[in-house]
Amino acid sequence: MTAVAWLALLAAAAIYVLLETSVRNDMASFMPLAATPEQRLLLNELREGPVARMTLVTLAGASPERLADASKKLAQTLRESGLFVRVANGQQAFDEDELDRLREYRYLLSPSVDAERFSVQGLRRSFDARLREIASPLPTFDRRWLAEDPTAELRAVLSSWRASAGARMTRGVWFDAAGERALLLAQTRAAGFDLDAQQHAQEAIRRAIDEAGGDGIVLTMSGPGVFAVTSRDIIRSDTRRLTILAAIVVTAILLAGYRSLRLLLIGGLPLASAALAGIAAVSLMFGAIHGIVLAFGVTVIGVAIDYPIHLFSHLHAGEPVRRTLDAIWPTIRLGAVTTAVGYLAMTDGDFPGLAQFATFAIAGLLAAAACTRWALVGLLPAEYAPVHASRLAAWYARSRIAGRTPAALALVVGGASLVYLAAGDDTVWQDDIAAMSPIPEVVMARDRSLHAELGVPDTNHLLMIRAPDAQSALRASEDLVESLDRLVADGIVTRFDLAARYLPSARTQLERRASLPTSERLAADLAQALEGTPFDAHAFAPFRAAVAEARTLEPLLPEELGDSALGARVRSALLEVDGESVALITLSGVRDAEALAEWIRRQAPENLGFLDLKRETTSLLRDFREHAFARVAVGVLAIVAILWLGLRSLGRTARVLLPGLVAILVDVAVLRLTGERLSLFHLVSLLLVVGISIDYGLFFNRDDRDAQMRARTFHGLVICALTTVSVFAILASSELPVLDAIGTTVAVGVAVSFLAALALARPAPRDGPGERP
Amino acid sequence: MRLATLRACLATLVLASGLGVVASSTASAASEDRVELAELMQKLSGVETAGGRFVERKYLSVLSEPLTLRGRVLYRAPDYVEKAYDDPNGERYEVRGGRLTIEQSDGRRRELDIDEHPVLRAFVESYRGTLAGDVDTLREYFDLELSGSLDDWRLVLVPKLEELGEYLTAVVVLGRGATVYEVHTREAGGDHSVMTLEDSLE
Repeated sequence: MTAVAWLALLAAAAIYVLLETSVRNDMASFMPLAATPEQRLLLNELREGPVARMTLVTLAGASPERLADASKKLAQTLRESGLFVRVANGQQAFDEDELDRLREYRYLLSPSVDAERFSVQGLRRSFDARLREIASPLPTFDRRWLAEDPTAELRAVLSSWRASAGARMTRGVWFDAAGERALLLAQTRAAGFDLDAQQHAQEAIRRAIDEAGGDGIVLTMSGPGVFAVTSRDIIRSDTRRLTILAAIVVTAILLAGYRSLRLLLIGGLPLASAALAGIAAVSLMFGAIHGIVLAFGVTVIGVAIDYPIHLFSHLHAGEPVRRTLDAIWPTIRLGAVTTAVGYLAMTDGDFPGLAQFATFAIAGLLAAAACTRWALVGLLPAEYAPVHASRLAAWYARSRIAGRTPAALALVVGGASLVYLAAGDDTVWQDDIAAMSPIPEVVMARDRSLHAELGVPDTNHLLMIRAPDAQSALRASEDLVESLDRLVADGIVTRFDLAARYLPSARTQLERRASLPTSERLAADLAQALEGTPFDAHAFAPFRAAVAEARTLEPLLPEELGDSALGARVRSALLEVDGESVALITLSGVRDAEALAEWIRRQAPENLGFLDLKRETTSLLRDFREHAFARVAVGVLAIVAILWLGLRSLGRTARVLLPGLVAILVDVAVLRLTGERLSLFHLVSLLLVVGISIDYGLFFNRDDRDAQMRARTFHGLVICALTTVSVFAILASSELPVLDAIGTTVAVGVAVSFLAALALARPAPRDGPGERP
Repeated sequence: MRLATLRACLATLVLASGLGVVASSTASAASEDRVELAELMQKLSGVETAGGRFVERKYLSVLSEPLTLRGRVLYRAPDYVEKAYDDPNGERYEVRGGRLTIEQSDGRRRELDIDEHPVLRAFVESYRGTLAGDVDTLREYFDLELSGSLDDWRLVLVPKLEELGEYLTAVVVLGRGATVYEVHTREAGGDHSVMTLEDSLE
């Protein structure tokens, strides 16, 4: 009856999961929550900032003509797609409307505008320059605006908007230094963490190249969005592949161990329960489940399967299933409860992804244990005895697996590991976020070098100016420009970039407006400046009209730029954070960090902050890992407390814990030996190892009635260890550093746990008068 | 032209590409011209050196009188062209293969790759390609229309590239036999210039 009720419950859960659960793939929930405004800004930059939305496209494998042609067509298609706020490949990136806007405001936006520019001497200088350009056999693009813009202010404005400092141009578009690859930068409209949108944008790029007749052209894309999507694809394909592989291996082990198809199917029930309960619990508590948590689910399944295995191995003829269950249930219960309590410490962390995982684990383990206890009874065949207990008991007694020598050996190995770990002085922690990325370092390095070739800011170093409103932030950043110019001149940084370069503050625009001459004044000075030149003064009426009109213009404000490429560029460096405005100044090519730090100290206005993205990320990770470590420690303490409560014996608690302790020591030593640094994911895995080792310790320290019962316990534990180690060894084969870390740690830890638990097992009772098969 | 100005010029060339659209009228060569074009090109490609003194007049709407420039131009097969202006600022432009060298009167030089900018390349080829009889290169950038007889011909080059069309509407080359004696350049804004060879090397 209970089996039927359980199946109904399971079906309900399945329906709920199918209908209500959404899987999210944005990486945001796998980033820690930020505590300080700097960290918030940092995370904001990492997720949504312009750098996170930048995709670098390279085209190779064809003649420069074809590549240049493809680059132009690609840029046009992408601009028209509406998916990108900015597409740059060396060509002019503005459409006619935007260019008209810049032309209209040129006298307020151009950095060369001042009173001197419109004096007789200043005008004469401009006209001399124009005359030389006219005399030259080379063309200038703004010749058509000569009559209205003889001082070439539009040219000055556009120069500030140039995207690249130093890319090589070939056939009108950017190429790499070798001239073999055409380069193009595309900034998506969607945020970097929105993986579905990123993928959509990347597909648009691929499609555009196909449509542009890209036969033989090798398209590569890089950038945070591309890497994130690739990672997700690896996670997806790895999860699918590894799940199938794990299922096959577990099936094989179970078939070999129990030689019963029926048991195999029954054994699937607690696993399905664990998976469904885990998903449903996360979905109920968090509203959605993260893709990576689903992938981690396989790890919990690897533990959940232990419960039915214990039950199966203890079944034997002459004892009703219910009695067998009664005999082992207290041990299973204690094991499940302790492990769940261990995870409880992580459910309210600052790391939503980790909290989801812990919730999944707790719900899954408890569901699998409950299913084993109440749902399987009616389904199991009576008089079933998978273990040839007397033969196995005899072998177990002969083998001397447990005893003084193996126990001593286990302790010595554990002790040696402790000494090895204590002797090392370098850090065992991995705080480099890049090391957790599945993208090969070569690809990352190539991405960095291409960005450097394009002169695109690497934005590892940011100055931030906080101010109550956008105009104050712009003004404050403008006030730093002079000093920043000196930094560049001194070779401390190669380039800096700020929103005010593109759109000066209203103050600056008004200053420029004020420096424009009156119509009468300009007419007089113009006539004087043109005296003795071949220029026709009457031809420049459009110029006088343009200046007169500029004198009536109100400053152009960031809000007015809207959704244009201009607006996107300004907004990427002028943010709203927590109701404040933040002007970002990106520093590229920081050569002398010391001198830069000194410069920042000297500036020292209170609202100026400095963000070294790499350093901040590292310290954020470190803070978080320390935090997580504390939580794991609390979890372990809770486990010890629960165990002691359950066993009511300090000595036995120690015996149960000892294999886990040895396993952790050996595990960490092995990881260290293989050059692995410990991350958060190792910590989580070690907690899993503790949970499993406690199960092993509990079962090997039970008051077994007789040698045959111990033999059945042994049989069950062998199958448990085999399945768990195989599942996690399979996980360790993943390309994904996260899954690899978990797989390796758990596989090694569980293997050592099993051997240590075996070696340190309570001596088996001699064959007594207990029940026989 | 000072170096700084030149740099500004070239920089803006980059910015310029892609501004608006000027539809270029594509005049396709009539079939009977093709034979003649091949013949003319054949003849031109046999020339080893050409050039001489020139006078160039630029007619611009902003100028009250045309700007007159004088100098010397020299072509050497297969891909060398030099254009040296007389006073006042006397710059010298030299193209050898894909390299453009600009030498100022004070001896300062600047080199650049004409392939960097299609517009620049097309400008160079309109003259060099014609002198070299390099029909393939010419066709890459221009639609060609040849008229007249071999003794007095007129070759009209209409830009194919959209971005080039924003600078040039046409280049018209006049010649007698294997000698080019006049080059008209019509700019997009209606301005134009005429370069006439005053004497010839031959």
